Amino acid sequence: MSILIQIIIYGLSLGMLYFLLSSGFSLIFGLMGVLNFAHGSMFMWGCYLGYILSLSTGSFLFGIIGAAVCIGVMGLVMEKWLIQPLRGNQLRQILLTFGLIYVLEELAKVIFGTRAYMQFPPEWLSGSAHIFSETVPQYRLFMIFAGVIVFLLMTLLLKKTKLGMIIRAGTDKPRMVQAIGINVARIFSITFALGCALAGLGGAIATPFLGAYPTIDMEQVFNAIAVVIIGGVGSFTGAFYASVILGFISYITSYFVPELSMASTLLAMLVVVMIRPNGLFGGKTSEN
Amino acid sequence: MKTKNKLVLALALLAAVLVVPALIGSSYIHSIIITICIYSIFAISYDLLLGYTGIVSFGHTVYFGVAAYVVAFTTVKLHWPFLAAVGMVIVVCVAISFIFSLVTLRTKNVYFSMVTMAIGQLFYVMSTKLYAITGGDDGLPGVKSIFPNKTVFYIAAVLILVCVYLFSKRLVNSPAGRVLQGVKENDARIGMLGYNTFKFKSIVIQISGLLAGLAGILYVNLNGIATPSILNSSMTLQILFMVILGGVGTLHGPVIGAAIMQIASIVLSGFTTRWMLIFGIGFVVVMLFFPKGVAGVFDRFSQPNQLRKE
Amino acid sequence: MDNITENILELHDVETFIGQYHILFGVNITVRKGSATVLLGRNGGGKTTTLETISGLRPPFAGTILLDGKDIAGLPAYEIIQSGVGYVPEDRDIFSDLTIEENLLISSRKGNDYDKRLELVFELFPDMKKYFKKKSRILSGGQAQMLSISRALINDNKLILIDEPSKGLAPILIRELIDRINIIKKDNTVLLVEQNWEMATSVGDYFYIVQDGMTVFECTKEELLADDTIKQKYLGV
Repeated sequence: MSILIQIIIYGLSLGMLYFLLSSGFSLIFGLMGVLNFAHGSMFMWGCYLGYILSLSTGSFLFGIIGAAVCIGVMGLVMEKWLIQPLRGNQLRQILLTFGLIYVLEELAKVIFGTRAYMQFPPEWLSGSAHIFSETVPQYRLFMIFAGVIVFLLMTLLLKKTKLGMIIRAGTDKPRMVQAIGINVARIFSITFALGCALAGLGGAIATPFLGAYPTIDMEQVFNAIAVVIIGGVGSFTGAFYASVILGFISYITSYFVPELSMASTLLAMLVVVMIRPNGLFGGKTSEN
Repeated sequence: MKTKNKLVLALALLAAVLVVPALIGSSYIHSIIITICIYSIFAISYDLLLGYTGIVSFGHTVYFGVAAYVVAFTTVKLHWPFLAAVGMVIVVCVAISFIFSLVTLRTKNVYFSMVTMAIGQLFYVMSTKLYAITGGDDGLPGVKSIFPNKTVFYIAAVLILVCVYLFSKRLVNSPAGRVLQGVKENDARIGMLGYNTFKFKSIVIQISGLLAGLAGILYVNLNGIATPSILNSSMTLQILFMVILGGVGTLHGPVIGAAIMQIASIVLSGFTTRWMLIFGIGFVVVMLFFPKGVAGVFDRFSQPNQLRKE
Repeated sequence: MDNITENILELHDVETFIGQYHILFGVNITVRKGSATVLLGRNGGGKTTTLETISGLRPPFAGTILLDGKDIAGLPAYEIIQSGVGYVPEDRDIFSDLTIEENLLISSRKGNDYDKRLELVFELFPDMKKYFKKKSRILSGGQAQMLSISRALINDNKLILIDEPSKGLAPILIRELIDRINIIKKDNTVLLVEQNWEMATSVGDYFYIVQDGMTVFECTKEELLADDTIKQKYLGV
């Protein structure tokens, strides 16, 4: 019983972390066809900024929101100067974001050094909670809460606002969106910034749990890739379910075979590619 | 006449490259040139994929790294003779290329990029975690070079590079090679002509994998150790940069790219430990502003967002 | 003969490339206000590319395109559409992940009387009202075509471009669609690409034949119907 609760809480909180990380990645890829390999780097910078902003202002909430805003602005700049000029050439975009991983990582090393920063959760989240007979850290519950809130807000945005409808329409038929009189370039900029902001938010929320260190970008970008492939491209709810599944896979593996915990998400992804190339939850076809 | 002159010139150049440094060069300079040769072979193998089939794999470094690990593991831990280790490398590289072929069959373009990158990362993670086999982060040291000294190694490396280059040149100019270039241009059309494109792609994936494995064998001979860093995706970036810098689909371009990169990294690392930052910026700048040098291969990737209907 | 302001659309020597391929070599078209103009011609002649060029999806390489007297060649698609063009593409391209309502909502432009136009759409295509809240992927081919046309009708456009509405539809549906387009025609200027002879001749007032990327012939409906050699020479029927 107690191990079951532990698996549920820990797996779910890990899954929500994956969701915060990958939802923006999936959104950008689905709409724009841009595979942003530097998404993990955005997450990493979110870790650092969240840590610094929390520390300097003394407010954890300000830290995570500030990190999201900063990374969002960073995404806006990146889209305008690096992604937009290469529109129409997917491979060059991919290669560019691949190179950007190293620029952003080395830049972080120059500024923050190579050491890992540990952050404690704020006081109001540092205790433990009791669920049935099991004691779990409050911060784990906060991660689940944050993931669910972001999922609900994003679902609301996608389903109920005109911007959301346009994003869904563009994910389906990008060319036709221009043909109904919508400035697609602007929608792309907004979406890219939004996607990056989500990565920044995820990073800042992850810091008290994972810490902030320079190789976290590569570790995490693969989780984002795994989520998108398992969840199906362009499917936001698919990304959510895939994140939860990966959270459980990852936690259960780390519980029983710690050596394989990092490889487990990649292995799960490869299995899905071989069995169902379009992902488990529909979405666009992988043939394109 | 002209080709004959060219041949004479090439042979003279080769003789000069072989003889002059062998007579006067220091061991340090030999090592640098051997390294350039190794990366050139590796880059040529990548160019075969990228430039001649349009396959953009982000996991190509797996062959290189795994070959180095196989040699290190079998000769140091199992005390196998070197030739047996090479045999094992061939078996393993063929097995890996089979995996990549399967992935190619299943996915295209962007998906292929994601999946191959993930496979690369999987091998990297395993190299750091499977301590019993790989020695973890410390790697597997103690590999003895099969070459008695650096001068012999140097001559061997240059000759191997020349052989690999000539072999690759022949391959891409053979009838089968021309079909491959057709695969790059238009997969469907070649398919309709009755060629089995998957089979041809698999052959190139395999040859390219074996050549990368060869580079890995030489690498571990030179450095005496296999570490996770050779499986890291930053290795993929470097090899990608060499090919793109030198010119995709040229076969001699990767050699030039490898030489530039190697010399630049030695010079830059003298100034700063963060030389990868400069590489990264250089790479981004090339991607942004110099598409011409890297044209060919990009055409088939024209944005589905805009041209999907065509 | 013509007053220049009566021309909603004029194309002069328009040339267009798709990638490296030269597709349009010289297209000249005039669309008069209130008329229905039809582009005829064999497949691959450049009819669809002509509509795509007008809508801005494929900017022309050379030539002028006057919309209501203003040169729109080279403007981004969204600006051309916003200045009063409705575009109904060849493959309908409805947003299948969106409901009918959402499809229409995002197509409605600023300053548009959405409710009033919606009434109009419902009147013309009752099915749109019936399935208003449903995902548009459930629609049949004919209904999808209606939605695609509705998306153009939700705004008060100067010009509506319709690309092969009859494609893939059963004859009975084509006849129904002809009725609808004839109603639309009363209040709108239409430029239609059509292969279906029945639809082309029952809707069109004026005809252009596009062949090998050029407008090679133009005539009125009467001339087209009177002279069988046109049909034989250009359309191969």
